[in-house]
Amino acid sequence: MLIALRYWRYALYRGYLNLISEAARHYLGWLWWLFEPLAMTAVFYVVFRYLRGADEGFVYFLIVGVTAWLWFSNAVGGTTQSLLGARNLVLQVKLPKLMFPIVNVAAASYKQAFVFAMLLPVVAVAHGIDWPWLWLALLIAVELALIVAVAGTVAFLCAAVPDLRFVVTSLLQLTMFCSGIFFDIDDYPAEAQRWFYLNPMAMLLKQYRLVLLEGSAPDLGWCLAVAAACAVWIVLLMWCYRRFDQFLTRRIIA
Amino acid sequence: MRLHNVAVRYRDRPRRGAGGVKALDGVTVQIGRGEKVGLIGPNGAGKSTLMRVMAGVLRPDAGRCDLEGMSATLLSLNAGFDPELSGRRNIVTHGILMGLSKRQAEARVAAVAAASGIGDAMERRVSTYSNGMRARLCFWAAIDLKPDLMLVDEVLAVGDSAFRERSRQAMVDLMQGAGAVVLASHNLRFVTDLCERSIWLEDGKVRLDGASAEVAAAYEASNASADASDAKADERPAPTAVFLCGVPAGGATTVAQLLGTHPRAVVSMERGAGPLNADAKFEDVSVLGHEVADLPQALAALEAEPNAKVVFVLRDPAFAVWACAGAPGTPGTREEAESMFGEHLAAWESAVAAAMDATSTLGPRFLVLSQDRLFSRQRPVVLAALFRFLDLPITVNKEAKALLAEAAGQARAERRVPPRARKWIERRANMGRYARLLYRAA
Repeated sequence: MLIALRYWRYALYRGYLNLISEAARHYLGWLWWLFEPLAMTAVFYVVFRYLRGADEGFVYFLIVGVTAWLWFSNAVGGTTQSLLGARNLVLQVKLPKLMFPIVNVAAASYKQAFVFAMLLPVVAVAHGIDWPWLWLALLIAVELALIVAVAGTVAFLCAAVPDLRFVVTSLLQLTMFCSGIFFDIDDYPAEAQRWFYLNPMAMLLKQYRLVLLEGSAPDLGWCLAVAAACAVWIVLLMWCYRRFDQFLTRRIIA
Repeated sequence: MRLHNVAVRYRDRPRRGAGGVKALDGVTVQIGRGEKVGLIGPNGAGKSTLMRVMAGVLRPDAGRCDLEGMSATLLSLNAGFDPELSGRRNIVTHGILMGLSKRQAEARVAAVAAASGIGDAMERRVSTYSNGMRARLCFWAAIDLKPDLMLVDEVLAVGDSAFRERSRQAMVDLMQGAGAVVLASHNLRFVTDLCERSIWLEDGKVRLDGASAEVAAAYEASNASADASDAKADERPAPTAVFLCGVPAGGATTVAQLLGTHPRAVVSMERGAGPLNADAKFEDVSVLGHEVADLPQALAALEAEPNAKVVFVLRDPAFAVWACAGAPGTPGTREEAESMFGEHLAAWESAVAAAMDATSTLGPRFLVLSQDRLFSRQRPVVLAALFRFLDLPITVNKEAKALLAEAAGQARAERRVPPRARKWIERRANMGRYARLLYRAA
C-alpha cells in the first residue's frame, strides 16, 4: 500500500467533515445536496421537454444522467484547489499529497450516496427494479475509479501549474455537454457516436441508463477495460506523487 | 537527529529562470534524544525552514537529514483547523492525522478541553472562538501527542499573558519528559530559561552553537553593536496603549499577529472596540478594536490620552479598483470597483480621508500601514516601521539596514499600483503623504 492506512482513515473522515462544514455554511444545509441535481434536472427538463418536445420518459433519462454526472463533476471540480488550499497542513506535517484530492472525492462520494438513496427509488417506482440493478455496484465502482484517477491528476497538475484551474473548469463544462446528459448520443450518426463515446463519462452514462432504465446488463468488457485502465493510472499517479513530492511541497510554499 | 551540511533554496517565482532565496546554507546540527535546543536569529534567518527540514516536510537540496527513528511534530498555531467545525471535531481530525484511531482521538478530547481551558466551548464552532481560544486549542492539540521531537515555532508569542504563562508552564512540563524539543523564538529569556543549548542562525547559516546563556549573550551583543540608534529608541517612553484600527479585510489581524512576535508586546485582541486602558504597560499591551468603526474612538482617545498611539491598517481604495481588472497593469474603473465592493469602497474612502485628516494634527502618534505593503515582500520594512513607531526595540543588522534603506528608496521611487490607479489614489487620498508616513520611521 503506497499510502498508509492512517491517511486513508484521515481522508475518509475529513471528507465526511467537509460535508458537515459545507452544510453548516448554508441556510438549507444538506438539502442543497438534493436540490442541486433536482435543479439541474428541472432546467434541462424544461428546456428539452417544452422547447424540443422530448417524451415523458425524458425526466428519468435526465435524472440518471445528471446524478451520475454531478458526482464526477463535484469530485473533480473540487480538487483544483485541494493541494494549494491545504498549505497550512502541508507545511506542518509530512503527508502523502494524494490524500488531499482523495478527501474531495470522499466528500463528493458521501454526498452522492445520499443523492442516489433519494433519487433511485423515484426511478425504481417508474421503471421497476430488476436483477440487472445489481450491475449498479460495478458501475459505481468504475465511476469511482475514474473519478479518483481524474481528480488525482487534476490536483497534481493544478498544484504544479495553478493557471490550469481555469482550464479544468472549462474542460469540465465541455465534458458535460459531450456526455449525453440531456440528449441520447445514439440518436446521432454512427460516425459522431464514435467520437462522443471516446469520452468515458458518455459511455458510463449510457451504461447507467442501460441498467436502470432498460433493465439490461452493461457492456461488461468496456467496464472492466476502463476499471483496469484507471487502476493502472492510479498506480502511476501514486508513483508520480511520491516522485514529485518535494516539487509539490515547494510549489505549495511558493 | 543529524543534519549534515543541509542547504535549502526557495525559488522566487513559478516561472523558470527567476531568482531564488537561499534559506539554509550548509547547516550541520545534531540533536540527541531528550535534548532541549533553542533556535534564535533574526527574521529570515532560516529558522522556520530548518524546522520544516527537521519535521521531514521539506527535503534539503543538498546535505543529509537523518531522523534516526525519531518522530518529529512541528507545533504551529496554524494547524489547519476548520473554523466551521467544532473544537471537538477539529481535535479528533488532528488526532487521526497524527496516527490515532478515531476512538483514541475522541478519548483525548476531554483532556485537551480541560488543559486548554476551553471546556464546554469545545462543542462550539471554532469560528466563534476568540484568537486566544484558537491559539490554546492548537497548542494543546499538538502538545498532547507527546512526540519524540517537538518542534515549536514561535508558538508562545501569541495570546494574552495568562495564556503565555500557561503555555510556558506546559512547555516546562513537556520538557521534563523524555522527548527532545527544538524551540524557535525571539524571546531570548524564554529560550535561555528552557533550553540548555541554543543555535544562533543567521542568513541560513549556523553562526554559533553552544550553551544557551553564551549564545544569547553573543546574539544580544551583536544586535546592540549593529545599530546604536536603536539603543536610543529603547530609552524612549513606551506608549501606554495602542489602538489598532482597520478597514474590513484590511489586515489588522495580521498586524496584531506581527506585533505579537515582538518579545515585549503581548497582544490580546477582541473584536470591536473596548475602553482604552490608560494603565496598560508595554508588557501587557492591549490592541483595542480592529474595525473601521473604531477609528473615531481611537482618535478621541489620542486627544484624551497623551501616551496612546493609533495604528491604522488601510486597504488601498486603489486595491479595489485594481482588483476589478484581475490583471496587473490594467486597473479597472471606478464603476467596476463600486459594483464589486459596494458600500465597502465608500467606507474605505471615508476612513482614508479621516485618517489623513488625523495625521495633520496627530501625526507623531498616528501610523498608517498599507495592506499591499503588508502582504508584499516589503513586510519586514513595514514591521520595522511599526515597531519603531511603537518604540519597541528592534535589531537592525547591517544587511537589514541596507534592505530598509533600499526599500525606503524604492517606496519613494515607485508605487506598486498601476499608474491609472495611482493617479486615482493621489486625487482621492493623497497617498504620497501616506507613503511618507509609512516610511518615516524606517
